[in-house]
Amino acid sequence: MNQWIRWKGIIPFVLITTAIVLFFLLAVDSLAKGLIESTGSKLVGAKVETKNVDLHLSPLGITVNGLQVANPEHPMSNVVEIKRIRFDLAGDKLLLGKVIIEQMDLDQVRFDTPRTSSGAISKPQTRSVSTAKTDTKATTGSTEKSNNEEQQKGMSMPSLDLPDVNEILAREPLDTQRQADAISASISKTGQDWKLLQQSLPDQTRQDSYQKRLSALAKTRQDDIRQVAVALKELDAIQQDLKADVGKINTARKQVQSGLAKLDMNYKALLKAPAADKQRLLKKYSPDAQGVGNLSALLFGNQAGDYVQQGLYWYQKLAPMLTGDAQDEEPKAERQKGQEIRFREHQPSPDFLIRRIHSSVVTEKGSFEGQILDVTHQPEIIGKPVSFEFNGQQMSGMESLRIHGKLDHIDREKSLDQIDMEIKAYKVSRHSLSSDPNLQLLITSARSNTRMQATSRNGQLDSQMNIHMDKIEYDNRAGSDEFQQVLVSAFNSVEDFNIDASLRGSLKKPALTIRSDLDRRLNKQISVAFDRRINAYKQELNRQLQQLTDAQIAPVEKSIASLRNEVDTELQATEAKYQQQAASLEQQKRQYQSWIETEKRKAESAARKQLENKAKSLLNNLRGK
Amino acid sequence: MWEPLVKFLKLLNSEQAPHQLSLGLAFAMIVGLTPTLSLHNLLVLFLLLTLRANISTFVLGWALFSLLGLFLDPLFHAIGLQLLTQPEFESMWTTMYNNSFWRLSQFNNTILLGSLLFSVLAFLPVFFLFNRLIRLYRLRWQERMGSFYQRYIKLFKLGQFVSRFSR
Repeated sequence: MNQWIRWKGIIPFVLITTAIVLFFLLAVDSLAKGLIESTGSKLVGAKVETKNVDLHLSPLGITVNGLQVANPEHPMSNVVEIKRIRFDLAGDKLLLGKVIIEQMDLDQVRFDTPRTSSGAISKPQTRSVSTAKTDTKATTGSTEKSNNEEQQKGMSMPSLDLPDVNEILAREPLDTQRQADAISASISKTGQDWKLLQQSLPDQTRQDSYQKRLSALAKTRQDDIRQVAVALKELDAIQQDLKADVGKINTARKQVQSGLAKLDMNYKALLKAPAADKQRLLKKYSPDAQGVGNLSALLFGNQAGDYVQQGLYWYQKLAPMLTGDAQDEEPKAERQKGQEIRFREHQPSPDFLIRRIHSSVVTEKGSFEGQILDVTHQPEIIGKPVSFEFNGQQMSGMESLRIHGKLDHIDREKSLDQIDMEIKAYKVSRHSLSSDPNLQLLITSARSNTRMQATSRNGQLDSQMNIHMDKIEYDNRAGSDEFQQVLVSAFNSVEDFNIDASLRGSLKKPALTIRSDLDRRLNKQISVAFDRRINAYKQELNRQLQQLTDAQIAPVEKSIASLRNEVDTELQATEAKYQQQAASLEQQKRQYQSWIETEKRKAESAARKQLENKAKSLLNNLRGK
Repeated sequence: MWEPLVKFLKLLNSEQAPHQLSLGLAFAMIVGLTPTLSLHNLLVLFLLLTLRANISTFVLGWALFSLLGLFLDPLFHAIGLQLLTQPEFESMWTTMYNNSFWRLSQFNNTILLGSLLFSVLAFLPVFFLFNRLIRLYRLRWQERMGSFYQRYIKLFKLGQFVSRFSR
């Protein structure tokens, strides 16, 4: 027996096992801290740090102190900072590989806090979720150019400093010029075609030859019927030749007229081109009245767009983790990993579940508390959506706050996420509406009431928000710009206003629309100044454009008229000659035919007389006999 | 890199009983082919230490079988998947799945189940095969290999000395 069993071996086994357990107990805190930080950093794309992590065995639970999640977009600030996270784990479920937390406490949650060191991770991560490509556009109505600049610099007020007309005309290729060049080339081509046609038309020599042939026929002896018959044949031949030449002239006329008709059509289009050029340049280089009028989008569009983009970014990042939409991939069999096959559970429970998260949130306007229920990535197992509710009463910076909603992904095909938010009597202080250094639109104090209802149904957004601001006090200043002065003056008379924002479309391409009654109130005063400036600008553009286009159109008109005149003159002259010769030929032909008829009648008469005489003579002979 | 081979040759030429050497290699096969951090390997460790298995051959064998395991993982995955998805075994797997001990054993992992089943079934054949090979070696080649081994050891030690001296 002893040949096979080594009783002393039990001692090292116990020692090794004890060492493993001791190592686990001593190092678990550091391991858990490292695991939280590395996994969190990988998920967020920025540093996730903790002050310390404490694992306690009875009851089994974890306390995380000083959690900081850096903002991947702004590494010197934290997206969220939580002073303490504490939760207990269900030990029996943990043995089954399930993390079930009955209650998690998040103490003193703070958003957007400053950091002492950068939170960027060494390998910069691009946003992996589609919000990186999210194209949130506020409906501003301003020009494309100004829109792009605002996206980069933040909101800046439109200006009435319109671009120089001379510069525009020097820089912009005009359609009038293009069409005038094209029509000049067409005139030249039609002229060349006409020259070629002229060569194929009967020339002067040919025209003279007819005269010669007719003159030769004039010498015909009219008492000789044979010569007259030959002359008649020759006249027929000349007539055929004349007809053929007239046919050629008609064909040439048709061809040239077709070319001239095209030139006429292009000329008519050219006459319309200056007006189209004017419209295009006005559209491109002048802010339209509607754009200036839609001030609400200009004032709040960029800020709202940023909020929406940030909100959607975190929503798309966190919602799949909370609801399990991110875990649809089939696990692959890797070395020492394999594939976990799941079987029916007698008492089904999700792999991860937090039944209740209690959280206290600290903001500069005071603290509020709330709870998040049933956080799991397998909501279909528990049959409940993730729901949340936060309430704040009698806060220092607002009267009340209520946020509630749910993330319902029980049926993945019919997911429905909702959030309702109501903030009453929020104290606004020193809120700037302009980033333009020459224009200060500063709300020094105001009161706002906000109501928001946001829904995402299968990734399709349908959200509305209304903000009512009243008791507004300003410190507005403008530079020398006329528009800014008008704007400041108009703003100072506004005591309250509403902002209505709606967000629709898909998560990847949301469309943000902002409307405000500010537009109506400010529009009248701004429009007067705007119209005055824009009308002068339009007139100047119109005048210079007209000068420029007149110089293009007049030569074209002249060239077409000249070509038409040349064609008509030559063809008409040739045709006239041919008509004259044809008439002369016809007259001579009629003369010959008349003479032949006369001779014919004479011959008939003579023959009749001869026959009568012969008959009489025969009768006389018969009588004599 | 020759050190493990030298150690192995040294063990083959030592006074250790063949069954102790082959038992160490057979246990190494289980630990090497299956995922290391598994509950069953605690039992293997206990058996390794309490049975008179040679720990040096276990360590060498572990490295060897771990390398082999890299290539055999797809096979183990296929075996495990086949077993775990057999309708005949479903009720058994379901019962085990609802038991904390078996869930800790990670039996529902395809690679673990496939590799464990493979190595357990191969345990006795591998044990007897190595036992037989070691006996054959000692009977037929030990003397011839012994002189070669002695020369090799001398060369190896000389090489180590020169290497240390030249630093």
